[in-house]
Amino acid sequence: MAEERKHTTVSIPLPLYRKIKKRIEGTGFTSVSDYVTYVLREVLASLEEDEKEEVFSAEEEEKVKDRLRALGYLD
Amino acid sequence: MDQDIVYIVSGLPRSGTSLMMKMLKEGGMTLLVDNIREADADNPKGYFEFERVKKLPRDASWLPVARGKVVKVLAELIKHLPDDQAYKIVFMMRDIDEIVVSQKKMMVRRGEDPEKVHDEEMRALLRSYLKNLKIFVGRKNNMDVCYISYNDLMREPDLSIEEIVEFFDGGLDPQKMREAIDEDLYRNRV
Repeated sequence: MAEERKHTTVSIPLPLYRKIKKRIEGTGFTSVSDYVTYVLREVLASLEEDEKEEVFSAEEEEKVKDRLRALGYLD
Repeated sequence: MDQDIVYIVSGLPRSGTSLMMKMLKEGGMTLLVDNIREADADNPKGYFEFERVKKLPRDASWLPVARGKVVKVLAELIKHLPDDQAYKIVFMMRDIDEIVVSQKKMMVRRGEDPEKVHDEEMRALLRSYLKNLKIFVGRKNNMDVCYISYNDLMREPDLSIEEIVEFFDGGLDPQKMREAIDEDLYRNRV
């Protein structure tokens, strides 16, 4: 009886692959696949939390806009 | 480039948006700029801005002119882009500490009070602000976004450039984009 497959292939853009490969140099990750699996698990676990918007009071929002105006980027 | 798409460079002030505009120009893209805001000590190579972008909350009638071109749209104004247009956005990210340091220097030069909000509070506000903006952009079907770290770009330019070229479906000159980077202008490191 054939052994059930435990992994499958997912495509990612080559530039991203190379970026990850560079990033994991000298870390405990032995392959890009290991790293991507780790990141995806982390992302999925925290997705619910991440999708919650930060609550901005009107005063806080005005502080950010005031900063942008002071820098000349907003009218 | 697709003449139906509006290409955008966005991010917080002092996150490398002007550098990205220059890189895309050198790489072969057409920019939508008016050069009203001239180069100064904060941006010696220029701002690459189009003043009418600031009017977006009230007037987006100029937007068709931007199709097939790259225009700089500050993070805050992304929220006001009309839904009936497709956008490809390069969104510049940068270490928040560096952004705040650089913004404060710019405020001093502009005669503004850089201590109006405490640094720690501003850093927290900007982090939350960016998080909300990412959620906003992620929910928009007409916005395709590529997040580029200014810090990564300065550390490993070729990797980021490769990512940008692919995001724009090729057609850019990576060597010329690389040559547009002046490492001497990476002045506010934390």
